[in-house]
Amino acid sequence: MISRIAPILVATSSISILMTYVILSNNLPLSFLIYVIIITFGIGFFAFGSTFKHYFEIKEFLENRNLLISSKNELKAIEISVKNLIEELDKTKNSFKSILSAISELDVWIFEVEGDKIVKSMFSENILGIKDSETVGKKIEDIFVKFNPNGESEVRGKVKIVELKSSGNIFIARNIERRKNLERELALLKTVFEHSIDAIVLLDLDSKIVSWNKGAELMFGYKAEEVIGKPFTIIVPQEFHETCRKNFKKAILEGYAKDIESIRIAKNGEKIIVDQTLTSIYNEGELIGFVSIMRDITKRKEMEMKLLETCDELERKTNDLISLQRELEYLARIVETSNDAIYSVDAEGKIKSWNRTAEKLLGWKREEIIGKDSSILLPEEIKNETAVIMQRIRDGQRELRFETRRLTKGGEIISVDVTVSPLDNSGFSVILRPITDSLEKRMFRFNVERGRTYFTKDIYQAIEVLKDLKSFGYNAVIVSRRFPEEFKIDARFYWLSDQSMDFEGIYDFIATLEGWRNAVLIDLDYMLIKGKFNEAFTLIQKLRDIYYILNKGIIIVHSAVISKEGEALLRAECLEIKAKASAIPPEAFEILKLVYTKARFGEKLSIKDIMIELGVTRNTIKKRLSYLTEKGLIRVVKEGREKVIEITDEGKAIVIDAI
Amino acid sequence: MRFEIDVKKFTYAKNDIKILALLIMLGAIGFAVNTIDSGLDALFIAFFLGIVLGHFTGNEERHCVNRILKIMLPIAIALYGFNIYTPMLSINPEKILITIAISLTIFLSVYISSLKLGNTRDLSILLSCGTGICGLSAIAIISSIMKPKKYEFSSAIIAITVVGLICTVFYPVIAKILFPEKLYLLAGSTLPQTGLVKISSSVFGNEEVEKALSIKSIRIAMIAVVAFLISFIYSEKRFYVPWFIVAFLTTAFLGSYFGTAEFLRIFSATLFASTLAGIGMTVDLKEIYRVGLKPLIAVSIGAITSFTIFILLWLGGVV
Repeated sequence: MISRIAPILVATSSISILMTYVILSNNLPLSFLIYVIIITFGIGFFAFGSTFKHYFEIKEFLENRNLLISSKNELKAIEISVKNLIEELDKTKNSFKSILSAISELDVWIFEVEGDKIVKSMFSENILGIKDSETVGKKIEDIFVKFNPNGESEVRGKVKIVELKSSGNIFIARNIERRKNLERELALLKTVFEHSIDAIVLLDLDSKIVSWNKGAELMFGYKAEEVIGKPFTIIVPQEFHETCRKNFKKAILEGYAKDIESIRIAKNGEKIIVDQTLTSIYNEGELIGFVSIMRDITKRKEMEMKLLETCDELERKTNDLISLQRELEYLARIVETSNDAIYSVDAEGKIKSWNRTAEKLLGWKREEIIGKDSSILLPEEIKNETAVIMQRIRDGQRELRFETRRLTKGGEIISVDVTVSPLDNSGFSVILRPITDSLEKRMFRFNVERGRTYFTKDIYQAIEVLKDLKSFGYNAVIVSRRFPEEFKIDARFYWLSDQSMDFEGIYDFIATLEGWRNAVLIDLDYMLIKGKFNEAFTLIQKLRDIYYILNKGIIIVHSAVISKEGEALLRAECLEIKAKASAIPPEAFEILKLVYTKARFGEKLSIKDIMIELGVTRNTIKKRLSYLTEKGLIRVVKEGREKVIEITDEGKAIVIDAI
Repeated sequence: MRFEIDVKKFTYAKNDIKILALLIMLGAIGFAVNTIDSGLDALFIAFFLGIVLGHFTGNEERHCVNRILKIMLPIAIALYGFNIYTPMLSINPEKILITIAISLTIFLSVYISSLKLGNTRDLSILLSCGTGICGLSAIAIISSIMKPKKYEFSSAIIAITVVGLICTVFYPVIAKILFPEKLYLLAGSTLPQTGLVKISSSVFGNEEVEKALSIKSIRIAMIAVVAFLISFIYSEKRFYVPWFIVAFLTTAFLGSYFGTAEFLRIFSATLFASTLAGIGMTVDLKEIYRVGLKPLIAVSIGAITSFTIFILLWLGGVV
């Protein structure tokens, strides 16, 4: 300051002194001294302004920017203000240095360009890999392959792609290779995300949907804009909400929950089975959401179910087959052990199968008869029977039942009841049953026949007939007012009373009896006493007809109190019971008949066999056998160490005659 | 701040009359001082007193002064023509040419040096016109056309006065040594103010004063040409000469050829000085001295150049 003021003072003073000297030495008017004063003042005035010009400028600058502190001493105020300003500048400088230091850590390069040359450079090693001093002076075209002052540019350096930002002639180049790579990866991930056939759903911490890919759209039918912001449970059935909550808990605790097979609901209400993986998403250690990847396994599951069903079906069918096989085996055993003679004939009339009973009945062993023509079993007069059967089968007849005759191996002709059924191979099966009804009829103690209705006035005779029939396996049924104890027979009882004497009911009861061997005793006394002859007669007529038609058994009508007219009418409708005359007691005849029957199949019974067959003690059997032996009807012979019973011709004759 | 004339909006407030009276008083003081010593220009004294007084007045008074100046300045300029000396027809045409040449030299040297020193164009024109033609009166008249900034106007007045006074002191001494008989020519052709010409040349008697004033009157006459030129240069759309310039030229012509009453001369001089006092009151002193030494140096260069030219002409025997 002094250095500037001093020359002004010296110059001004010099001019003043010089002028005063000139005025005085040249006798100029003294008023000229006033001029000197004015001159001195003027020069000093301008010199002061010139000297303090910068001071005033600084003061004005500080004032204009509100930086000047208020103080009486202007110079002091300016000094303090300037100091404050410098301190602020220092702080700013330090901040700037810190910023630069921070910037140096970033992948940036700051440079200044004049013309086409780089004149200043900072952090060029970050981008170019060379020092700033080497960078300065280089041309833009030497460094940049593609120079875009405000955009993506290509560089010849360790980094290839940078983003430039310019401010005037200062440029900042930022390494964006990592960002580019991330963008590429992101684009790839986005493509995968968008085009995945799996449903990929991003969820926030509240399990609300934030992203919904095309796969999810296709799988669930919801568009992204329809579900974004809505809870994930929109596609979870109500009953799975708790499970869903547990899965989220597991994902939070373990990071993920995978292999979740669950059911989801599509927009159209369709249920979809999905295999879901739920994964937690973390950002810098903080949970920010979840990603749910779901694969539609409905078809796979359906196929699995179908496969399981098929397996079950196969197993079931296998079981059925096994069962069928067993059944067949069982049936085969039944066939084999049947009391009926069963054999089959093929389309050519050859015998294909032959059971044990057939062996016994017809005398042919299986190995002997198989392959032989079935006509071998036919007597001469019906040799064409096989052809007739086959013709009728071809005509569509499914079953043939008839009585016929067969020729045994021994040449004996036997009467048989035949049932013929067609087989798949155009052949047929034949079931032979000896005509037992005739035999049975002949074996009854009374001359009664199935399908017939008989009348008797003797209640004891009626009971005896009933007992006889029951001994042949008939079901005994009694309709009477008498007490059951009076009959001394185990029978079903229809006890007549005023209330139960319903003729329709009685008809239904008798007509609907099960089976074909029913022995029904109808005691008309009570009905007649009650004056119900007409109804009773009508009942008898109806029952006679139905039993005759259906061959359901034998009806015995009894009345001791019937009038002569009534008796006449009943006898017109019913047959009379006649007792058979026989010299052999029935117990003995029973044994004779058994021995004869077994003998027909070539069997010889021992005493033990008869005991078993008839359920009678040995002594009783021996007594009866002794009786029959004495009569010459049987003889006891020894076969090896065992005694067996043989029927004699006389015995056969009696039996045949009885039958 | 620009000088504007708006009579319709002017209101004669009581305060305005007080200020007007004060200005006239300052003008009268200036005129009185000038009467005592013609070297102390009435305009400069009034302006100086205005600056001093303005330093102690408030903004309201300054507004008042500005309102008064809007009317007072053009009237003062118009009437100041009565104070202009007409050129003497008996002057040798050779001297007229020399005077015009020196004036132009001063004008150009000041203008160029001022611009080179970094002064504004307006200040440079004011400095060159003030130095080359007729000092403060030229500056006041030209300013009414150019409407420069007040600090430019003020710094030009001070710089020209200071340099003029220096020259006034040194010219008689130099002339006494070198060319006593040529002082009137040196003073008349180079000194800016009429009063300075008068006081400088008075050293060698009244005859020299008359001769110097006749030379000075040539330069004063140049104000008419310069006023027209400045009006032409500063006209914004079309050529326009303000009415007070026309009136100034008219009063100058009438006063020169038909004579001017003494009271009118005194009144016009006092009124013009009062106007300068008003301008001085509205000037901010800080703005003036912040201009620095540049106007002073520019005017000094003009003075040295004109003196050098004169010496060369003297040495060459032209004068």
